[in-house]
Amino acid sequence: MQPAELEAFRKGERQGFEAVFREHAADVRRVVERFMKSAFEQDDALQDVWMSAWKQSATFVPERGPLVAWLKTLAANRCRDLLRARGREPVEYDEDADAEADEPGPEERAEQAQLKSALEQLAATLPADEAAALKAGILSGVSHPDVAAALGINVRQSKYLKQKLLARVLAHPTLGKAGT
Amino acid sequence: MSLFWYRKRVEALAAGTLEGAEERKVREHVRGCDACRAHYDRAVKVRLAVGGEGVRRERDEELLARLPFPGREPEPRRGFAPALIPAVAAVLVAMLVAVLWHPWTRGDDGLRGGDEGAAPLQARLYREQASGKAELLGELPGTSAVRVHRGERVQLSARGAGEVTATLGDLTLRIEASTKFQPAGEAWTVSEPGELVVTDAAGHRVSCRVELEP
Repeated sequence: MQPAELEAFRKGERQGFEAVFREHAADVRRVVERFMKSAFEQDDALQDVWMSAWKQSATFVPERGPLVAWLKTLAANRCRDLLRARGREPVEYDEDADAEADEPGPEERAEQAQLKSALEQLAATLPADEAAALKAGILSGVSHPDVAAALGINVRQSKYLKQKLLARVLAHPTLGKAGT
Repeated sequence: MSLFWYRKRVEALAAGTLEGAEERKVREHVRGCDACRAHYDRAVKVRLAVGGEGVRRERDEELLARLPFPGREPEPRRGFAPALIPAVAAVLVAMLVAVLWHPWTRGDDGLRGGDEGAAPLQARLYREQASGKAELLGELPGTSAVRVHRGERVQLSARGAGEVTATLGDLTLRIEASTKFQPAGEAWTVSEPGELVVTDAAGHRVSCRVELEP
């Protein structure tokens, strides 16, 4: 990260904030995932954490330590506050254990393999345009402009297609159970 | 609003395809609804399981896009302006519908064809007359307010992307957009003023005030 971007972040400038966000979104997300099991709660907490980071950016002092540590501490504290506000006891959080806990366990790996196989089965039953969208990675984090270009459709249509595909996946007897 | 309506919206929320006021509205609902939250969690988990790290990055970008920075478009006002709310309330309104404009929505569940350059959302509000004919009250966008008599029956038609949702006060209706304007669907009795908000599947939004004649 450029010193100018860091300084812009400290001044509360949007450009600096966005640079910090893109650099450290995954770090902050990992902390929040330790505290919140529900994806919806994670989303809410992440929004809260990042807005706090933006409001408190002037309190970050580079001489005291790296930005990532400041962000992680802020995230952990906000999560504790949010959980306590809901009457729940925060989990123990060990920052050092962060990295190794990110590796998927055997269960998760097995679930992913099962999911991949079920997805292939689903793709075989889909109309050509939907199967093409699935293969183009519309549920895999490929950007809408890329999917739209690959399929010869516009971005709005790719968003619509994505929503429809997700609904299909959720209705699939095997795939739909992945989140239960 | 029906359970089906919310399920579809929750899935759209989890897919990251909702934007603006509609995104905030559905998110607010999910926050207080255990069933919708569980459905959202499941949908996100499936999305992550399918897409892995790419989806995580995509969700980060979605979060960045919805952070409420100062200077970003403010939350559109919903509901009634207090000064215009009569003490006696009842439910109102009016509208809707017509059929498909979007080729994907033809057939069992859509996803057909490729309609390049989809038109932005447009809606028209009509007054139902005794003769059975419809008199045009206003066109959205463009008309800031329409005036109707209390108890008058009105209808709506819309051109837009796929499913169109209209709200007036507590009333929410789902319709499908048409290829051409034609008052269709149920006529509704207006008994209270408010803000008519019409959104389509692509997140476009038009609105106008519905005022009562004195």
